[in-house]
This record gives sequence, structure tokens and C-alpha cells, in this order.
Amino acid sequence: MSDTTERNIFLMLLNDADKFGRALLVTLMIAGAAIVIGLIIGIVCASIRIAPKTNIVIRILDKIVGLYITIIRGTPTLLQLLIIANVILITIYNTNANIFVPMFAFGVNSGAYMAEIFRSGFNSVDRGQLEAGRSLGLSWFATTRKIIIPQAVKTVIPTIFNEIIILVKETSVVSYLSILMPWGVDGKVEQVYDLLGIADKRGQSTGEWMAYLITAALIYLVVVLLLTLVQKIIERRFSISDRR
Amino acid sequence: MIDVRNLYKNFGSVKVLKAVSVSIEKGEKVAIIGPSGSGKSTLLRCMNLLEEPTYGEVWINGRLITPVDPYLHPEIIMSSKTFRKMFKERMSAVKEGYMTEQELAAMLISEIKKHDFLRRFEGGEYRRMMRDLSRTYGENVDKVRRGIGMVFQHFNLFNNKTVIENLMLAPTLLGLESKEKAKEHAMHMLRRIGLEDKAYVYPSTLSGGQKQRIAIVRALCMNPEYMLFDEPTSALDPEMVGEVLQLMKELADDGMTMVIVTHEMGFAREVATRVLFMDDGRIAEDGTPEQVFGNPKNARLKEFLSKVLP
Repeated sequence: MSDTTERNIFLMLLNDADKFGRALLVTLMIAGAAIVIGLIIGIVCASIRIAPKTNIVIRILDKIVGLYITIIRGTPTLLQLLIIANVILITIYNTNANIFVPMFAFGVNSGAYMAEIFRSGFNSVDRGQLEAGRSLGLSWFATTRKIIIPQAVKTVIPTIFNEIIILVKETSVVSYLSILMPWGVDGKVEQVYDLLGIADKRGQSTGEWMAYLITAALIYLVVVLLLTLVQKIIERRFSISDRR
Repeated sequence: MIDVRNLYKNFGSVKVLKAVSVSIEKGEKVAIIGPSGSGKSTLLRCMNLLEEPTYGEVWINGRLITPVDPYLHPEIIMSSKTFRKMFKERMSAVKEGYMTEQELAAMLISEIKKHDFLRRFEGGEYRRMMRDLSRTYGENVDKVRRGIGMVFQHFNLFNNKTVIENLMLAPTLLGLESKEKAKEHAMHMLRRIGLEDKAYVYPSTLSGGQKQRIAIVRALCMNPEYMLFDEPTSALDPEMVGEVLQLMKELADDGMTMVIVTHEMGFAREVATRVLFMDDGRIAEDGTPEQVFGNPKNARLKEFLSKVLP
């Protein structure tokens, strides 16, 4: 009796493989886009924060970036997502949440954290390196580009991957929203689910909630393990100058 | 010539340099000695503007690398609103025959200097004079630094570059030498210090003495006119001090203009042509090694020497 039940669950999950596949794709698309947006925002904001405050424009930008980071870090991600989805999209643009909302929301969220990571990476490089470059007649920009950033990147990689991993998992928050893909089958708008969303939905409709949740958990785990592998490879490539 | 004029440097409320003026001619080898915290390193770092002075000016070969300091130019003070207002207020003294206009002007100038009376906005004439002066004599500091090599206490070799890349980076990046030429030059310099076999290793594999000699050579690859040394042997193990001092001595014998902040009194005595003793942010004694070490006049210098000389 119990044997058949187990086989049923297994078959059931197998039948839903394509649904999980698409859900994984949605999760990865949201996370991927958010990482790219986050990295861009992070790099730009960190550059503003570390730049010498020689003119008023930089100083004003620095204040704005500071405010952005404070707000993003000071409020929950889900709240930011809901504000962007409900307040901005529905009230201002009168459209429903689509996949660009979580991409944008997580990107903006992650950008604040990445800005701080890049800034701390820059600050972790010994001041003497900058001074040595400047004393040779190199500009602040040239020294930063050739000497400081390559060294900062090395120290930043583990923390950035940490942030990326958190981000991938945090995208599960979108299961609170119904995501509408603008490019559904046959050009129609279609509702899709992320990994946690599909597990939740299928679990509820089949009654085998636990099995679906554990499957989703395992898929997240595999994704994170793959990311860790990528991190190790990159770290190894950057550690040449440490070798003795 | 390195010309430091009336330099002040404050770190917050701490006054590290107080009215330091010194000029260093080409060919001189100047050792700066003094107790720690006396402002030696700060003075040296102000010479290539790694530290920005609070007041005062630094001139290198007749070019001004700091902003114009109005307090050093009486004609600029006289063009300020503050001066003109004070002058008008005190005009009665001239009218009543107590002093001449020149005397009054001189008095006001010294008063303004003493109490730091100049404000940020002092009228169009003042601004124009400041701008003209900095246009005439001002020079981009990055350009001037090319001619001033600097050696640091902690070497500061670029950790992400191999030794040869360390030597080649600045000359090639600034377009002073082609890649091939720079490489040839760098290898030549490495051969000179007997470290050509280290050309392709990273700095983390080197000993302190090797790092410091390479740091010196890195500065020399820019063909500088001046070399500044900021306690070059202080972070070295005792057995490595000799090799670095030897290289510096060779450099001195080649006629390089050198300014050396050091605790190596023996080296200062042997190599320097002039010794500055700094104490509490001021140059307390300035003379030949014979004068400073053999016949010290300043009480603090005597005390200092009795502690550091065996």
C-alpha cells in the first residue's frame, strides 16, 4: 500500500517536471536580471561613494546614493516589492504585475547591498597602494583602475557571491505576487510561477505539499551549489598574485 | 628646487606642522631626523602633495603645486575686502600723523596674517589676483610627481602586478616609454640591483629588503629629479637594512637629490649633506651633519641625540 503511494508521488512530481522547469526558468530570469541590475547600480553607486569629493556634483550624488542605500537597507524586501508592484505599477501605470516588476525590485534592492560591498572592497585595499600610484604621477583614476580595483575585486568576490546566493533564494518572495508573463504562449499574457510558487500551488492542489516543497528546496540547493562552484573557479583565477 | 613656504598642516585639531619653510637645492642630500610625531613624514609627504597642507605653498622647480596661499602674498591681502575695510577704518591714524600709509598697511597685513582674517569671498579683485597667480605658476600635481620619486616605509609595491609590471606600469601608462623600451629599462635596473631573476614573480614572494630595493628602482624607472624616502628601512629586519642603505648610498653618489626621513643616524651622518632636526612641528635645527651631530645647539636636539646615538 505504502509502496504504491510513494510511486504515485514520484510519478506526480515527474509529471510536473516541465512545470518545475519553467518555474526554475522564471526564478533564474528574475534572479539573473536582478543580479545584472544590482551589479550595475552597485558599481555606479560605489564609484560615487569612493570618488574624491572635489566638486559639488559628486557631493550631491553622494548624498543621494547614501539616502538610497539607507532606505533600501532599512525596509523589508517584500515591502519594497509590494510597493513597486501595487503602488507604482497599478496606480500610476494601471497595469498588473509582470515579470519586470520583481526583476526591477530585486535589482534595486540588491544594488544597495552591492554598492556597500564594492565600497568596502575598495576600502579594504591598503591606502599605500593608492599613494604609491599617485607618487609615480598616475592620476587617481588610473591608479584606481589599474591597481585598486583588481585587488578590491579579489576581496569582494566571496561577499558578492554571498549576495547573489541570497538574492536567488530571496526571489521566492515573488510567490506572493501573481506574475504575468508578457510573452505567454501564443502571444497571450499568461500567469507563471517561480519555484516556490509552483511548489506551493501544485502542493495545495494535489495535497502532497511536503513532497513539492522538498523538491523545490532541492532545486534551490542545486542552483546554489552550482553558484558556489562558479565562485570557487573565479576565486582561483584571481588568487595568482597570492601564490608563493 | 623644492621650496616649502610657511607650511601648516592640521589633522583636525592636532597641529602637525607649524610654519615650516625649507628649500632644497638640486644635488643636496637632506636627512630629516627627529622624535616620532614631530612631523617629519608629514613634511616629506607634503613635498609631493600626498598630504595636502592646511596653509602654505610648495614650489617644485618654480612651479606651484598647492593652491595659492593668500597669506604669503601681501599684494593679495591688500586687494581683499577685509584689508580695505580695515584700512578705511584706521585711516584716521594716518591723517592724524601717527604713521604713514605704508606703515599702516604693513601693520594691517601682519594683523590679518596673525588672526587668519581672510574669508572665502574677498571680492572680485582678490579673486582675480588669486586666479592669475595660480594660472601663471600653478602646475598639475600629477605632472610634477613624475619628477619626484617616493619610497615608502611599507614598500607599497603593487600586489596585483609582477615585479617587472610594477616597474613598467607608470612609464608605459603615462606614455613616456614604449612597452619594449620600458621593459629593457626595467630589466636593466633589476640587473643593477641583482634581482633580474625576480622579474616575473609577485611581490608577496619577496623579502622586505628585496621589496624595498625594487620599490626604489620602481621610482627610478621614472627618471626622477628628486627622490623622497619615508623611513625606508624602518619596516625591515635588521639584516636587510644594509642592502637598502647601500643602494641609497649608490644613488647619492650618482648625484641624485634626496630627501630622507630616517632613524639611521649613521647613514644620515655619512651620506647627507644637510640635516634637518624636527621637533614639535617645526624645524628646530638645520645644518651640515658635522654641525648637527658634532655641535648641536638646540636643547631638544641634544636630548634626542643622547637617546639615539650609542
